[in-house]
Amino acid sequence: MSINSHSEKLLPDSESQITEFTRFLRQLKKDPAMLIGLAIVILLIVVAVFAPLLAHYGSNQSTGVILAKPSFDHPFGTNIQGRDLFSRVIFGSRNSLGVAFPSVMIAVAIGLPLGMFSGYIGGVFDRFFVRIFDIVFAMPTILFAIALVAYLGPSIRNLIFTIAALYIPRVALVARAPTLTIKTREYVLAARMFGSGIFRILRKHIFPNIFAPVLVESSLLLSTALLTEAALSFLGLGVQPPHPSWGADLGKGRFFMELGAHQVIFPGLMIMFAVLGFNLLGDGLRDYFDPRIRKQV
Amino acid sequence: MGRYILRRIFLLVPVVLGVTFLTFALIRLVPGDIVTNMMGVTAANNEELRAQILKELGLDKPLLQQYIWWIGRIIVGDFGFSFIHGKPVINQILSRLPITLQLGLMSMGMAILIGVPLGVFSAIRRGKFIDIFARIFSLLGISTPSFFTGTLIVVFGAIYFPTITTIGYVPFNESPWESTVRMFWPASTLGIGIGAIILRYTRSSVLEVLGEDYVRTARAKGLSEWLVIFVHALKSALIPIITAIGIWTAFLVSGTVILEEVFAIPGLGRLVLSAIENRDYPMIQGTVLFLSLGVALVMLIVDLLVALVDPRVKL
Repeated sequence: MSINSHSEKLLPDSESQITEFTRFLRQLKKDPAMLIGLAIVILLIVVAVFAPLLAHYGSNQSTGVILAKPSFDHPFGTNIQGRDLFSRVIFGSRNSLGVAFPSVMIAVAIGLPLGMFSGYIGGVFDRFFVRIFDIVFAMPTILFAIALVAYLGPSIRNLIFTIAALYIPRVALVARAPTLTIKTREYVLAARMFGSGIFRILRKHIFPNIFAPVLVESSLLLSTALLTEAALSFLGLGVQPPHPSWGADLGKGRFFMELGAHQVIFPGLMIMFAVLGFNLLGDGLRDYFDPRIRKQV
Repeated sequence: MGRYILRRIFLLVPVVLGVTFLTFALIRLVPGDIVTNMMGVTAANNEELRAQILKELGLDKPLLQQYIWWIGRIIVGDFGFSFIHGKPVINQILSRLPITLQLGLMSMGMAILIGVPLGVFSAIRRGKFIDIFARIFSLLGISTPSFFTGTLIVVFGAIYFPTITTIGYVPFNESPWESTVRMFWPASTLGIGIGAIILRYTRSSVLEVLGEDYVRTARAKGLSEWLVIFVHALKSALIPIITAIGIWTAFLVSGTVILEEVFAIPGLGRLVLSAIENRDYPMIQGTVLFLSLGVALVMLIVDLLVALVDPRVKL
């Protein structure tokens, strides 16, 4: 028995020499689906950020060629108003991601602490909030999103607030579940006995264990947020014309589809591609954080 | 048995209260003057009409007081009065209910028929072709927006198969066969989307059950593999699936709203959308409330069903 193996046996798992980042990279190698998902997400972010550099035309620039078929000059063709669909799809990524990311981030910013506190404090406070969460969680999201946007008026800001409001209960419930199990653990009880304040306990013991499930949930919520924004824009209740959005372009192209299917196909494929990416990433992350699989890495 | 049912129905009360409160209170978010929004400036200046509308929407008195008044109306079945149509909201809702119900039932039926068997086979033949196929199918199914598939079916159907009508609605009592065939297209679109979700859930549920000790015992006893899977394992695996049907009904409702628009079906979803177009706030409120209560009711029924089937639940 060399000294090395002896010292490795003494170190508990969490203090092993492998960093989280290395673990993550190894998992990416083992799980090609998650790698593809991550690649897609990164690609989407890059496209959204560098949109003006990648698009040949402006999103609302009339090119004088109505309903052109896909060609070298117009890779996705043009729509009924003569606007280049390729550019519209690229700029549309800004609006679609620009709704999905902020709404999920707001939902996490509010939902995570809410769920954590609710689970930890317990009592009437907790039961009250869980009731509310269950109600909103069970209701059809798109229906309520439609109603809210109908009342508030369609705009990107209202869209973000609506989706965020509907997702807060989901994040809160995901954050609450581990909190309930951990708060009864011995080390938490010991910490309380030694006089640790509530914030310290939450920060040191509970939050690190909530982080993973919330991250997985966020990735999946990003995909549904994208779908919800696309659905609402498709119905005319989301991103308003002339702003580009994959769902809105699909909705507009639908009425003129017999004149050129490309108007519907390319925005639709884009939505599929993006949602698929987030789903693959979310699934991969879920498997990555699964305790049964963690021990193997 | 009675005790459990009563307890479960009792739990429904806060959910109903919560849903009604949400749908009722949300209308106060409308910016600007709601009467002007609804009826235009000239009509809004009419004092009598304005008072009438505000009273109808439940906006003239404080929130809590108004809420109790609102609940009272709901119990009696009064969902409001549409000033755009000039008729009670509930009439429109009830006349369109069977249509959406038909779509919903067909869609859910197809979703279960697609999702459950594929999910089961995907779990028991793990890693084999059927599993890979099912997982790719489910991934594509949840990633594809239903309005995309639906639009493609409608327009490609119209271009390449002009004899087959994919849109519109045929009442069931007029011609059951024609009605079902017409409803097949939107139902299958939704069915694939929700079936993909059901597939994943079934697969993981069955996988979990197959790892349980009693399955190992049954195999050790020498029971045939088919018996083990389809009699013992499936019974336990189905329970969480039935529970989840309640949650999937919510997705179903969201999906029908979109697909009724794509396939031009005059159902409740279309009603909500046209109400929004016309700024018919009582109609929006009433329809959203009705649909939400419907979902809550389905969840109650599903929970009671599970209680009957699940031997762990003490009735």
